[in-house]
Amino acid sequence: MNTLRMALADSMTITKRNALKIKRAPDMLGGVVLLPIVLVLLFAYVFGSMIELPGMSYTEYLLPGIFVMTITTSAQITGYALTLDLQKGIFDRFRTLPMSPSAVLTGQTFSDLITNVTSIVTMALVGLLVGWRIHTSPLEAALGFLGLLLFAYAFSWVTATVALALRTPEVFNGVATIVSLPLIFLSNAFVDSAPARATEGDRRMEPDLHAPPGHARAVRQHQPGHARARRLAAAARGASVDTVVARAPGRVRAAGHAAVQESRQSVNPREAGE
Amino acid sequence: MSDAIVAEGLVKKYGDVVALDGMDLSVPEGTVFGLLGPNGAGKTTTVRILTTLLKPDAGHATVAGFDVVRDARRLRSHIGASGQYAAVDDHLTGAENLETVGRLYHLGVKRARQRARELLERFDLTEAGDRPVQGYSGGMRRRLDLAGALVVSPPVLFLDEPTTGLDPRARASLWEVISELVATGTTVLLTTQYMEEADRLADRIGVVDHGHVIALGTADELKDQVGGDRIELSVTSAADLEAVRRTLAPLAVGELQIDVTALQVTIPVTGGAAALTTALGHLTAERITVRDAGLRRPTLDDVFLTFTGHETDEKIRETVR
Ligand SMILES: Nc1ncnc2c1ncn2[C@@H]1O[C@H](COP(=O)(O)OP(=O)(O)OP(=O)(O)O)[C@@H](O)[C@H]1O
Ligand SMILES: [Mg+2]
Repeated sequence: MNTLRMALADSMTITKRNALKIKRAPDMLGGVVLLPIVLVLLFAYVFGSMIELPGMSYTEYLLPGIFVMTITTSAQITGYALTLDLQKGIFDRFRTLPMSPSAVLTGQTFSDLITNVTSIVTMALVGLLVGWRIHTSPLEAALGFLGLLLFAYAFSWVTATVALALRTPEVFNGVATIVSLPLIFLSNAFVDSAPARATEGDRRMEPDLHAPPGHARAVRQHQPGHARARRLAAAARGASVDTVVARAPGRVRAAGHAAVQESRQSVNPREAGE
Repeated sequence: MSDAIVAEGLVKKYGDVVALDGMDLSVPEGTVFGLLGPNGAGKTTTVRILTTLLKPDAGHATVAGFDVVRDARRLRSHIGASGQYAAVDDHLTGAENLETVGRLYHLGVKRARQRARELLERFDLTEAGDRPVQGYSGGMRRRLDLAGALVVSPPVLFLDEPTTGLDPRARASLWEVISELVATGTTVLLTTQYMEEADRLADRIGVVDHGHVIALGTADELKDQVGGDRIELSVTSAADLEAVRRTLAPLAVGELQIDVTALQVTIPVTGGAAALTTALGHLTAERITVRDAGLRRPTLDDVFLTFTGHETDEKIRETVR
């Protein structure tokens, strides 16, 4: 068997094994389905009614962000599953077999596409329920979702790489949360943290280093009923500069921004036009 | 007959810990080699290097004619391996676990499925075969893992403590499987803590300690190397143990072993039955009541204890405590 065919066949074997695992132990899938439902409902009803955006409903602004955020979370399953296999010695068993070494990784990322598609479909359905609509042509919308899926697939490989370096599930989970949580809030998923992008062209993904330190103020000012979208946005922007953004790996952050932006535009031309 | 496994001067370090320190091995085709040694001796590390899971820091090894580092990929179709801890997928059934392994050895779908059934039957897992492994007992997992090593009837087989955790019946049937495989020409390297197993299965035994082989030979050769006979005495009270030791120490040709819990003393001697008579004479003179006395050839236990001396010390200290 030539190398390429062997790699493909082995990847399919591993994919099948993982698919069986998903079927038998839907607990991980449960997280991937339930998390998006909870997040969409939470943000749509709790924040959606509190924050006003000019020209569009916050729910519609928010949903694409939730899409990317959930996908980012569910792509972490790739890394987590790999650390579990490593820990249980399953990798060692595979490594004594005459299989293609890359198949363990390609198989894992392939099977995680199944989870990712499930998340995306769930979110889209819940989104439709809470008032999110596709405003573009079906083709553009499909391309948008495809882009989202590609982002998820790429991010699966990022988490796989991290997993192989960290090796144990506990450490991986810790690191994944610490890294991904700030990135999610630094992105423009919830609030537009890069309002100057229209005029600044390519520099739009750069953190605004001169923004005021606003984290503490945000906490103080965020009294029920007093919150204003703009203030929140400014505060979040400030917080991001204060804390992590300056140090966050620019490319990952930019990729996140781009994914949010892209998925927003492909389903919602109104925002693109602003 | 050529050697199926050859290792020369293998060295492996984990930071400051020297796991292997000049490990040499040679195992002729179609024979069973038993690696015997205390915990931490380097048995697993040796197996991991020979099964391509680890690269040695120095030295080299060939298995079935393939270099374990340079020809690792080609070697893998010629070996089967079962590690010290069962590596099976909890969510898959026993059959699916074996089919996955079969597919990764590039057996066709049909052949992989058929082979899985054969192995399940051979390891007494037919009934459990379609249940997820999650519900298996420790011994059942172990058996499934061992079955995984036999999927393609590889010419060289590595089994790291294969019978640990198996009940006597499962152990006996694994011994049978191994004997059958060897009869058809398979070479087996196994590690074990059970002397009985090494005695029964292994054509040759290597006693490992501190990362290298310290004694090598057939079970009989090793017993001869240890030499002489053993007098085994039981006394009625712990108070007598010290008196026995004092009285018989001059007769002993090596360390006396005292088992405080069993109230037993083992004395290595030369001279066979005459030595036993002398010993009993001394004890009678000292008015020490002997409950049971006997003479026996050294066992592999004695071999183990003699060669890995520090383990003996530990055992005595433990029993005394
Ligand atoms: N991954 C590792 N990291 C650090 N040290 C290790 C590692 N693996 C093994 N060692 C050390 O190498 C030495 C040999 O270990 P090995 O597992 O080969 O022993 P063993 O003979 O199989 O013991 P056991 O009978 O307990 O299975 C030990 O001192 C152990 O602590
Ligand atoms: Mg071991």
